[in-house]
Amino acid sequence: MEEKLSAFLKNQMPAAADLSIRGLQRRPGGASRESWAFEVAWRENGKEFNRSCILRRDPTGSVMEGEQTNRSLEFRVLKALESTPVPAPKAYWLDSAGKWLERPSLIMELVGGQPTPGPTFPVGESPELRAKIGARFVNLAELHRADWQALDLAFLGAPSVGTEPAARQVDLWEMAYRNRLEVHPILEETFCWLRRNLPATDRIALVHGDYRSGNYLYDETGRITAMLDWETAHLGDPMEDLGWASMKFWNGAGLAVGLMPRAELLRRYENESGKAVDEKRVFFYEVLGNAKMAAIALTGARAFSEGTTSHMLHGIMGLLVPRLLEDLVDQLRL
Amino acid sequence: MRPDIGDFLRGVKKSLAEVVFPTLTDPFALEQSAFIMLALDHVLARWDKASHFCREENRGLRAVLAEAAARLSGEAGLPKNAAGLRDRIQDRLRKEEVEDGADRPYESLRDGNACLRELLAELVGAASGEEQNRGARAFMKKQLEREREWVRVGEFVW
Repeated sequence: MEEKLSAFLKNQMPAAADLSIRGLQRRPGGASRESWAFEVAWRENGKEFNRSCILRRDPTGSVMEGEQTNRSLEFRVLKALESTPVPAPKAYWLDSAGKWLERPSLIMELVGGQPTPGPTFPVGESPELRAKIGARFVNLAELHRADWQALDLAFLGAPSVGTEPAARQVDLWEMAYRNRLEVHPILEETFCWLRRNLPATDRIALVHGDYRSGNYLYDETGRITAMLDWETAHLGDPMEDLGWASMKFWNGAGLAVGLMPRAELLRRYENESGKAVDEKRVFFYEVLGNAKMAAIALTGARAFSEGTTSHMLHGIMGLLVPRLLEDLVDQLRL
Repeated sequence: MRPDIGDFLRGVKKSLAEVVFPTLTDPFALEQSAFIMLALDHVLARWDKASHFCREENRGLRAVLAEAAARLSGEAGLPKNAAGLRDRIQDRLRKEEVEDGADRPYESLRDGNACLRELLAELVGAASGEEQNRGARAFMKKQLEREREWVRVGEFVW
């Protein structure tokens, strides 16, 4: 791996001399992409450079395939975010086709800070730290305010206002579900419900797509140093991120993503954004979120069962499906 | 015959915990090992109950689909696609009848259930009203309760 990485970086920086890689190590966490940390040093025009990096590489088998995510998209989104106040790692290099690194990969900045150990803020953390992180978490409004046209993000494919953003997401995740390990009649009924209840939005925003605890880094002062995992970013209804973060599945100690009660999250987002929160739309995206998460878990379980992945988490994720289905039964009163 | 599967699984777990894990330093390998332990806990708790679990599901699926097929047969002027679905349900139920028996292998049960689930999903998707889905919903809720129990390991529930 180190040799391949070195060859790739030399190709990307033909003027670099004495390029060296240190401490290449695969990192734990995350199910959708391989993550490797390393340091790269080189000399150029008489100056010395050092960078701490993260390599994100497509796995052999995944919980999300092709249509749901790709490295080029993530790379371009990260590049665009560099000129915004949204905390995100800088994107450095892209091997979009996997010509150098075997599979599509991107290299980005290693940002300081720690992730939450799971998809919820830890129950045992101090209330003060929780409150500070919570305040930063609702800065989601800042992401939704970003002018995606000026940021050159129209390549993501802007849906029209109205029901198209919701319809696109239902199409995307229903397609992922069709690639599942086994059929679930509750999910069939859920996708029928989603199609019958597509909500209309009057504005299109840059949506993160996986906005929750576990996908940000924070420090001891309560600052979110970076929002991570932009691979499912898209243009859509801003309520989608709120619905995702509101899911009971991510609850910790009864708090949305372990940070604050759901109602408070919505109220504070409303204050931050200056835009009314449409609870019906948030609910729709919560339902979609459960179906999406079940589709992800079932796709991962399939990759595990068919042996296209050796990541144990993909197998374990299959065990989460009943809980997600239970939430859907409650939500839809099936 | 001893050691049986449970003995082996407990042995594998002990060997991993006491021999393999202490030598690991790579953070990714350590994370994977923790997941392997979780998976082993699940398998240990359920390996000898898998056939029973599948058999119960099979019984429930056959009952709900037989009821649906009977209802569809009783409806006058059935659309062509609904008649086709009814015929496929009846066909599958006949196959299940033939394959049924105390000695039916686990894989056969599992694959049979997958076919029955597909038909149930189709039935749910084709239903024109809540009333038509009542039986299917009752089954799905019961099955979900069983699946929730299935993923419980001691006090831990996924």
